[in-house]
Amino acid sequence: MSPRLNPTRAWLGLPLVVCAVAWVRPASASPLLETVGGVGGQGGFNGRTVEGGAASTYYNPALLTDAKTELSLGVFILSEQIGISLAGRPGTQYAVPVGIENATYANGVPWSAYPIPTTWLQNGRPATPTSPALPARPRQGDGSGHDLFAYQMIGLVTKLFHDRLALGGYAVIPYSKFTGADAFYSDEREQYFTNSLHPELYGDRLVATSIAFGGGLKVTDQLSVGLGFTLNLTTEAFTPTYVSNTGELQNILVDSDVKVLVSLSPHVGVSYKPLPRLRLTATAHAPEKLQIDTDFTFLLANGVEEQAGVDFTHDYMPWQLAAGASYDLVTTSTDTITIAATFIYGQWSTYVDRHSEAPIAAYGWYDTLTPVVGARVQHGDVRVFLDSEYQPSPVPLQTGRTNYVDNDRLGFDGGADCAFSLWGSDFRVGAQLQVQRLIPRYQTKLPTPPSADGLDHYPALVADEVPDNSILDGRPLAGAQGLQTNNPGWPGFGSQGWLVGGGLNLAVTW
Amino acid sequence: MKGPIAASVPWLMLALGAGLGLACAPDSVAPGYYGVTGDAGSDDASELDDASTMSADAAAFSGGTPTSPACNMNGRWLVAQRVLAEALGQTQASHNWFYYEVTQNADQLVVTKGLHCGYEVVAVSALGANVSSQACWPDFLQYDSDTGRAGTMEVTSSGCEINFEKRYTVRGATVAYYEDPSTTLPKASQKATSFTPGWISWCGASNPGITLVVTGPASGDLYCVQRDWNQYSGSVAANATTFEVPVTWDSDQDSLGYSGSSVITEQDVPDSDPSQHYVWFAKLDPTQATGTDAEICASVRSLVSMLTPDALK
Repeated sequence: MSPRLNPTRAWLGLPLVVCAVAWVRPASASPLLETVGGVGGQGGFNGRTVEGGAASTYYNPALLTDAKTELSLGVFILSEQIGISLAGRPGTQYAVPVGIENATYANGVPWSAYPIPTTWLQNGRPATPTSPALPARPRQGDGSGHDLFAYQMIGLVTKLFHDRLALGGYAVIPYSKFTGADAFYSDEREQYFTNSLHPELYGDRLVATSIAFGGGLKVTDQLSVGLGFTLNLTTEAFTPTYVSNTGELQNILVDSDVKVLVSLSPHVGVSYKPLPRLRLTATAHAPEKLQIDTDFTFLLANGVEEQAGVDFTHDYMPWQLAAGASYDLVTTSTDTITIAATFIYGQWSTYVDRHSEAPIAAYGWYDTLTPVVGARVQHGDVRVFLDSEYQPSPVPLQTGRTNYVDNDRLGFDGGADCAFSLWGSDFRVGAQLQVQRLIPRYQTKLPTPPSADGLDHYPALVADEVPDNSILDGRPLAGAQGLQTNNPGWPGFGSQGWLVGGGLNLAVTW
Repeated sequence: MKGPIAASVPWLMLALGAGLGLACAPDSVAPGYYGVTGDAGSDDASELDDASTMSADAAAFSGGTPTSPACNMNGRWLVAQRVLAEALGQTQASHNWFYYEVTQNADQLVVTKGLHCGYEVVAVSALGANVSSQACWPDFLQYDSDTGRAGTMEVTSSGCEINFEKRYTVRGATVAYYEDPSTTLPKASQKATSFTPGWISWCGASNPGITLVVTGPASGDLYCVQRDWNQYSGSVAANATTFEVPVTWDSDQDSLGYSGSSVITEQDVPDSDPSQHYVWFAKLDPTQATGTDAEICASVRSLVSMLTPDALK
């Protein structure tokens, strides 16, 4: 007989939830897990609502109580093919001219930043008697939207106290590297580096550290609560530097003081079955990010010492709240057909980019609501599932200074597994395939009104990098009138792409 | 890790890599201008980037990446618009000719060069009028433009769907001011000055506005200003390089004077039959319609009868 809901026992889980939510320290992120869904098991994109074996440790640890005890291993391959197309520059009058390094505002004040002559970016500059050649870095010559990743999945579920408590661990680890973090600017400052646009929510975010562990408590036969954590890495690097001669930077002396700190980011889940066939779920995932803090000190031979610091924020994931439901349409001794749906709210309006900068207010990001629907069919020892989700982009059309590249995404994830016995042990082998389409998107930059005083009156629009009132050697600078920019996304850009993944997994259950 | 799962990694990667060969989305950059080494930003210092061993003209319209190659508007197009108008119970067909260089990225179209090559009006009913604007064609080319016109080209289950945004054209007046449809076209007393908008003498004459030569049962010279708008929207067969699209349009005209019959000052209105208003697009090959803007337009006008004869009905 199933026990009725005991109010006292039901509220036992509440302090667990409250404590977890109150202790929110941004931690290592899991954008990979959010992008590909559950690897192994039947969770798929609906992992917050449907028990997914060890993967429930991340998506909804309350569902661990319904999982079998298992040790699972798997491989997953993900191909990222995101194309970015840049519109052609319409004329040379928009190019930053050569010979501007000594130009100033009309009052003689130096510019706040000096762009690189556009032709040097595109074609490079040959060596001169006094300086080596400057290699070209043409627009979109160093994009990062095409890659193939392979991951190792490791999962574990075990039960304690007559199956009332379930503990789980789940990790998806890239074969190429434990984690990756590549920073880039999303405006004209990227001219100094790759001079290219990059997908904002993919790329290095697909090699993020993705390790979760947690537990689920079966409060009653109908109600389970869960608490989990993702592993956090914070890197602090301090590099004191001695510069004996500013003309010979190759001879600097550097020490290093690097710390890698580990902490945890919590997530909580609840599963409630008001009817034998109906399950309701809710989850909350706290914000996560990979923080890299770097500090430099420069000591010069004349005794002057200066300090600078740069912080990076990678793999940022905002608060994510979800609610879901599943219903067993058919339940017989051998067959089960279940439909499931989940709605995930993402507070992307709090996003900070890789240089720890929030998007310009005029182009602030949207919060998103992602619907997921799917079905599961079990026939004897064979189970199959198919999910679909539509992830609207949180990024508004980039018609201004910034070039955050993102698209709405429509995804399908399917898989099958089969249980069998061998050598006295129970196994389950499965396969999975997913296709996600980044729906094409294009944006044209808005024109930047001219500014006679040389000041930037429209910081949200493409920056005029050569102020109109500039002078050089006491005379007006030629080529300064109107807009001159090296913003790689100007005068417009488009993006589209595919994510295609697949994998195999094997679990031993007991 | 060892065993069958680890051994499957290369095969999975190979399969996914091969599968994506059909669906990859490469990065691309449309040709553009980047200045010249040693330049000072002067206008004559033009250098096309090297995606380019091609000429500047050819590079300018090589376009972007469409969603589907079957719905690709990138390229150079002859655009011939035919609409039917009615005045005093008589019908006339108006033929407008344009030259478009179109860049398409995903579903988005932008006319990167849109030349107005002129128009004519021919009588359809027995007592209809013929109108020649030939003397004005150089001014249409100089002052009117469809450059920057936006549109979409979307993939549909039956082919493609094209749409070009509503666009206003002003003739014989201060274009930048009267393009705003909320403004009232100038009267005969409102000649443009350096400081105020108004009518301007076009067509190589000293008459107010444009000078149209009207022939037929009623004839004479009409001096007027005009403000038209048009919008193109309709379905297109996949991979089509010559196709017809419905047009919606209207016209506003202020008569500033005339010589001859006063009947020619009558304003016409669009015919009520939507099927009588359409525009033909014909893709130009690299040898067609080249040279200066005036030479391009001369070629466009001569090619209409060959490439889009139905646009001259």
